Amino acid sequence: MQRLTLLFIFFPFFLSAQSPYEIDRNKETWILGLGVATYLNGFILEKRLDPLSLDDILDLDRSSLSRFDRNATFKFSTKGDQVNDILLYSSFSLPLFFLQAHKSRNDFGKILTLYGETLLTTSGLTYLTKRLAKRARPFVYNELAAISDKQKVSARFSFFSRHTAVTASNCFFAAKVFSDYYPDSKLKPYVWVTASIVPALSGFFRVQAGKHFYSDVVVGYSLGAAVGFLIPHIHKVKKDKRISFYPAPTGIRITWNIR
Amino acid sequence: MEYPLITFDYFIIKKTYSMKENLLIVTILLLLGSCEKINLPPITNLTVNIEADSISFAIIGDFGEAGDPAFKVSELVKSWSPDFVVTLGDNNYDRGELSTFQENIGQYYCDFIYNPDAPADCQCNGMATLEAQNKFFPTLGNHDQQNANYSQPYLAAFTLPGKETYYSFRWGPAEFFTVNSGKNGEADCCGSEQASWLKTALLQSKAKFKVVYFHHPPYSSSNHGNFTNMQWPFEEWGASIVLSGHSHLYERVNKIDTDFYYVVNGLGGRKKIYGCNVNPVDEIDLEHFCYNETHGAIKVEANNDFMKLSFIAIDDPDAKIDEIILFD
Repeated sequence: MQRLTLLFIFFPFFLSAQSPYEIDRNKETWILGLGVATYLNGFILEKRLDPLSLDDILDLDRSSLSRFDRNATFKFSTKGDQVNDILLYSSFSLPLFFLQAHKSRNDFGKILTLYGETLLTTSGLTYLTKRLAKRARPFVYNELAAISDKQKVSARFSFFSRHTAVTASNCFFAAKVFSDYYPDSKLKPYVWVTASIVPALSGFFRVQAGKHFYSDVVVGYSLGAAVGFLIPHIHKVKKDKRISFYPAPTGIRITWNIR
Repeated sequence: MEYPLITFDYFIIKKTYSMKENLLIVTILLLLGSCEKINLPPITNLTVNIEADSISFAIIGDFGEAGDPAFKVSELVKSWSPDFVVTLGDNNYDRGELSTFQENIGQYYCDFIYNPDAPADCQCNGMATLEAQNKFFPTLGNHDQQNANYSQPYLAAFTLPGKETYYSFRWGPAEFFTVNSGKNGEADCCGSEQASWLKTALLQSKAKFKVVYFHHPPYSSSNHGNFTNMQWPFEEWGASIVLSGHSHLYERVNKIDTDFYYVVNGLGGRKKIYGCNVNPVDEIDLEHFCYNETHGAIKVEANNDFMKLSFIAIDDPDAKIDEIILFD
């Protein structure tokens, strides 16, 4: 069964019949390539990144932060952190719904491919941006937090929130795929509302834990939601292919077919 | 159906609203909740290092509730003409807001406070301002952080040395060290930034007397009991005495056959006074004295040879309820 599942993952496009999605080798190569490239760049940058020194930490000043972000520097909760992990790891299981649902069951390999791209894109962008921004986490400003935690390289990965971005990406991906397979379902509004709330909760608890500023989670939420929505969207079978989006070497290629 | 009142941290809405309106208001307030306009002054390298052979100062705790007890304690303190005042937290009930600063603190202690960085309506205009020398050294209590902006109003209202949430200052033969014991006394020893700082600062200090103070008491027999998270190795680090508040009574605790004291003073003005021995401290290892009859403050006199702390109640300013003498 494990072999069969792997087969589904790597050869998904043999399985679809009446699928709302189509897979294009060219498009998938670009998306996966960009995802891997962001990871590699992030990895190279991390190798060059030093942790904050004790003097750097003691020089940090809350008053230099915007009022919007400053409150997070007073928060420090390990419980908030635990709730976040539960939300994040639970959201990874969402695609399994489509393995069980009868309309998407035969398309599961394709869905997994799209999910893999979604996860890779969100995580890759988060991974790279954190290492470019090098923003100190809010707890680094907090006198109650341990110096040893503040002197880890990861204490500089505040912008933007990976937990929130990946949770948003998972939830919005699941909601989008559900909507595409069941466009007439009465459950759609509930699915979208739930998909919106869960990553917001994740963001809230990340701030409570002192791991992120509000701006980190707002950006993480927005990016995760956008990727989770757009990856399935750009793979939809176009009934009227008047406008199409493709990744291109210089960015995204938009084609408008005038008939 | 209508609901008469919504409260959200700073905001109190006294009109009646429908459920939908309530939800809309709460949503807007949630979005705005973290945006109260408090401008924090940047951290400066302010230090306080006053040369003097002998000093006198007052210690007050849990005083920030306007009323008769707070007034009488402030009059008692002023009658001693202390060089400065040390507070043990809960400076501004109930929520530590800037709007209650003058009512709870300023009207009683502005003569000691020099806070040029504070918002205009919180600035003091007393003797300390005339001399441009702050003489009021508070520590953060739980009630100073119970608002939507945590300790920001406190940081904005006072002009203190170092990082302000924790700091030290030197006055004559004594050096004073304060840390933030957290909202619930959760500040943990020993790896935290402030604990690392305290250990280093105490070990490096050359002062005759090293006074450590913060809000939540390591040992107390009152309603709140001991805050075990705050039982840091102060003695090992070189402290001379540990002062705290939070419990609205006066207590002195010391290990038998030692002269290292933990003193609790929460009788600075908060009207409600707590009971002694509600949660008895360990009588086998510790000596314990408790007083809770009325409000008061600690008067301290120190020189290069000794430091004498006397708890004095408002109803009899000439009598000493308790006295501790530390020798160099």
